[in-house]
Amino acid sequence: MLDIRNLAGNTAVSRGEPWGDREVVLEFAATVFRFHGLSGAQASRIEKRYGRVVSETVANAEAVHTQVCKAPLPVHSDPLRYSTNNLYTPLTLHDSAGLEVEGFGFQARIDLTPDFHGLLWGEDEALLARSIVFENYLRTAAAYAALRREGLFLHSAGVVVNDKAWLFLGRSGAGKSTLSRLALQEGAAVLSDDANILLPDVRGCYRAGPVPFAGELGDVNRDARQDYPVAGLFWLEQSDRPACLSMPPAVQWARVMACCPVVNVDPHRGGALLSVLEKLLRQLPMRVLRFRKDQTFIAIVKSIEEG
Amino acid sequence: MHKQDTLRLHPDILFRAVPPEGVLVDQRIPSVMVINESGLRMMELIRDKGSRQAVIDALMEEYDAPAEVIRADVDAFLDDLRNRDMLS
Repeated sequence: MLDIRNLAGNTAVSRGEPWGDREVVLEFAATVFRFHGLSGAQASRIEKRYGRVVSETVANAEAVHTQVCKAPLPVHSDPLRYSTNNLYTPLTLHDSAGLEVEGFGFQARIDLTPDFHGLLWGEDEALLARSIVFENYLRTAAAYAALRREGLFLHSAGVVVNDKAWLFLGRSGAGKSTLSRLALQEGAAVLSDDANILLPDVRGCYRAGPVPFAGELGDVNRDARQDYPVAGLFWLEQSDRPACLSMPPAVQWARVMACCPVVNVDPHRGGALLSVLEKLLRQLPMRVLRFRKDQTFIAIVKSIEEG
Repeated sequence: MHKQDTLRLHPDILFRAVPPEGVLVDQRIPSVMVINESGLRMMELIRDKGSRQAVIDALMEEYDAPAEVIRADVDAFLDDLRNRDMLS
């Protein structure tokens, strides 16, 4: 299916020539991502884009290492090779040890066992550091890093109410950004209107932190490294009759799973994902939140608390 | 008549009981389906028994319904799974 070069196994990180000797360390959602082999120009671009989560001080924390290399890419004539339903979609090939990804201007190998490490390569120095490559890779790495720690990378809006995170999931257009905007207007903190990472703390209780991938509202969170205990999960539906309602358990599973990009199509990690869902939804059953766009955020909070 | 008696879920299909219902995940599409209580019981039996006849026998012991009704329900459910390429 994919003609991604065969780079399976630990030899992956030793293949290819680095672009330079610069390293960039990003830290968010209690995870450290180290990128090695960058040129000065690549490092500068990445540091500028992800400035809020660039870390200078992390030395010995467990990290996800990625080697960035230069290597020629195969030439493809199909203009829709990376298109699914008219959306840009890198090709992914999963195996028991990890996955291979191929997209516009890059290929990547992520090994998940025994250690989590990656190899990202391409033939265009500038393109590799641009969002279309780097952020796609980082999103994939973040999703697997979260799952590895029994957490989730969740398409959701995250709003902080009384120092606790409420996560709002929903179909495209359901109102995640609208609700986030309402929350911001009324002074609440928003983690992200697009995606958040949930990780269990030492007691197994889930906490939510933002990711540095801007949604419709841009970078809205005040502290990219601050996480909060999750107090509720809500499935958003717009309705003329605001309400907060319970949801059948199996529907909760289906909805949350659909909001776990990247890992929810990996047959080798499907069991692990289901186990996380089981743990999360036992702790935090998801409810349906019906809201009107002209409601105030305070009124929405009230409907949740009364529900 | 279903000649193929052995039943096994396709490896890309994940199934999990979430009582009183169940979840079927097709990772090839991807899609997630919710199945009702009857579907959940049939999926558990398919997983545990692995044969059409064993599923029918188990349901006949559990439900006070005519054999032909149970057989028809099981075959309809299996047809649905096969149409979705969920059995290997």
